[in-house]
Amino acid sequence: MPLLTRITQQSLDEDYLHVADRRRTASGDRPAGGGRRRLTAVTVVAVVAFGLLVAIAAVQTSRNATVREESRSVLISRIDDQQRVVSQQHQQIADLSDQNTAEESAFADMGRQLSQATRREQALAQTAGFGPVAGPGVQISVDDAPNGGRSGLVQDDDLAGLINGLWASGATAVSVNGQRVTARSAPRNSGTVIRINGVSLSAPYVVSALGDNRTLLAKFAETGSGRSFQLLTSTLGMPVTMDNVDHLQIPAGPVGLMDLRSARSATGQKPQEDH
Amino acid sequence: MIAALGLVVGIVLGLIFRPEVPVGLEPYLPIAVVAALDAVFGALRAFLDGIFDDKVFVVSFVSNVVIAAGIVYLGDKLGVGGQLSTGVIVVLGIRIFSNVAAIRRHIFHA
Repeated sequence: MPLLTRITQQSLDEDYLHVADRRRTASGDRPAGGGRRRLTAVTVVAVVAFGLLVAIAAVQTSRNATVREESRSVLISRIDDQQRVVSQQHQQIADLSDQNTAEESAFADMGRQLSQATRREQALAQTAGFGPVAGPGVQISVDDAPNGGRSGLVQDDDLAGLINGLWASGATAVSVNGQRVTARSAPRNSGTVIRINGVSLSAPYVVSALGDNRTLLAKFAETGSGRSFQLLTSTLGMPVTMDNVDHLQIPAGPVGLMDLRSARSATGQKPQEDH
Repeated sequence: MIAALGLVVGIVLGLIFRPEVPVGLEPYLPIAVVAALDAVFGALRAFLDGIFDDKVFVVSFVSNVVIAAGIVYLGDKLGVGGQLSTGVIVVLGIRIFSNVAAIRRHIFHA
């Protein structure tokens, strides 16, 4: 018999039929009355239990529904809160990345300015004598006159004339015995030696000058300083050698000389007096 | 008449006292209610057929509730609680429907 048909046909408990059959065969033997009333009381108790069961189930379900609804609304509000937080953070991310882009372009600008300034600083340092330079140039060596006595010594003025003559003939950097002649260096007599940049130098003095060595010596010979140097050395008998050098290294001047002595406002305002 | 009164008294008692169901028994309550419903409708039909017997009703009521809850409990322990309670509800539901149909035939003589 198919399952569904079987369930449908036996939907009534078969016990009812059995008991009814038994009662029919044994009819007349049973005293009708007392037994039935007792069983009716049991029925009422079972029905009360059924009602109780239904009520309990309904109450429990509605109670659970309240709890479920509350937890649902709590969850929804938490979701909303978190979504607000997330959108705030998205906004923050956008703001920060905008800021980041701006900072990056500012940084790139700054880097360009820095490299410009560095290039300018290097050029200025080479010109002013505070950066090492190399290139073709000339070397002029001058010594004290061998038998000249005190007047045969090379004086600071003599060296200064030589250096000025070289500047005038187009030298871009000059050093004496490895001491760079900067804008603030000047040869000074100190007893029998000459001090440049605070360093004592002794004869022979080797003056190195950077410049076009095809024309530098010729131009030097034509300047006033060059002519008087020529006259001086030949008169006093100072040994002089002049050489063209293709690769000349001239070191930087001492950093200690690089302090501010005078300044002028670039905007044209009147400079403040330094007290 | 007395039975209907008993049903009302039971429902009212349940609503008044609102007893707390232990958490462990909570999943078996709905299935027990459906089983009890089946027993009640079976009893109503037997009553209308004229073959109602109180002892049979009480025994079928108690055994329906206990067996339905027991099947679901067993299913929970085996990990197929959901499927087993679905099966129990299907069978009980079909029985309830056919019983109700028989009751309807009695009431409307159709």
